[in-house]
Amino acid sequence: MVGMQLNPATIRLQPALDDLVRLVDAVESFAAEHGLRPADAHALTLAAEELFANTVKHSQPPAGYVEFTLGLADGVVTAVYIDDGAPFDPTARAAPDTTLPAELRPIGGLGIYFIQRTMQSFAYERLDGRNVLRFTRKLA
Amino acid sequence: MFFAAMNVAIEYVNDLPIVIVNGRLDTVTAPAFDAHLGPFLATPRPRILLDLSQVGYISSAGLRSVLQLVKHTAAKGGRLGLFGAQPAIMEVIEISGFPTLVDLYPDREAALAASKVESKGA
Repeated sequence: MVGMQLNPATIRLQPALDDLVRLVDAVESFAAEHGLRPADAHALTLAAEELFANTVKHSQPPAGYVEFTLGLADGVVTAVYIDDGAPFDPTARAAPDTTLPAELRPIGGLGIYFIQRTMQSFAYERLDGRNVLRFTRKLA
Repeated sequence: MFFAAMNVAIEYVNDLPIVIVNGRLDTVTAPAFDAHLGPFLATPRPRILLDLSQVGYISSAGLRSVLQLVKHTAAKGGRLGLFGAQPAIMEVIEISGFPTLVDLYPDREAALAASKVESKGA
C-alpha cells in the first residue's frame, strides 16, 4: 500500500543515475539477507533498474523522488516502486517484437518487457499524484 | 565497490576479435562499454566473439550495447558469437529473442572451434 509504514527495506532515492548504485545495493542486500537464488536476485535487480532508468530518462517534468520497497512473505517477493513524476503507465506498453532480424531490431523497449516476463504480476496505479508500480516474483 | 566495476578488453586469436567483459553491463556502465568499443567498431567485421563469462548482471541498457555488436556483424553478413553466459544472464538473453540473432556457445573453446569451421566454409 502506498500509505505503508517505512521499514528497513524501503529506500528513498533522487531520480538521478548516481542513485542507481543505492537502489541496486538495496536489492542486492535484500537478496543476500533472504538467501535469494541468483536468478531471483537478478530478475528483481533488473526490474528495479529498468523502472528507475525510465523515471530518470523519461519523466517530464522530472520526478522529485523515487521510493522503492521490497518485502517477502510466503515465498513471494513483493516490490512497490513509486515516483512523483508525470503520469506514465509502463504496463500499458505493447510488447516489443523479439522475432525481428538484427537490422530491424529497435535499440530500446526491452526493459519493461523483461519485467512482464520475469514477474508473476506487474500492475500500475496513479495515486495521489504518484506513479505506483507493484510487482511480485514467486521464488523457486 | 562491485557496482561501478566494468572492464572491457579486446583479445585477438589469430585475426578473430574476442570482446571480454568483466562486471556489470547496466545503465551506468553501458556508455563506457560503448565508448571503449567505438574505435574497434570503426573497422567493419563480420565476426566478433563476446565473452560474457565474467558478467554477473545485464539489463536492457547492456543488451542494447550487445545489439550494437549484433548489428555491426550483421552489416557485413556475419553474426556475433556469444559465449559463457551464466543462467541468469541467459534468461534475459532468451527473453530478448537474441538467440535468433547470435550464435550461442557454452564456452570459449566451443566458440573458437565453431568460428574456425565457419571461416573455412566462408
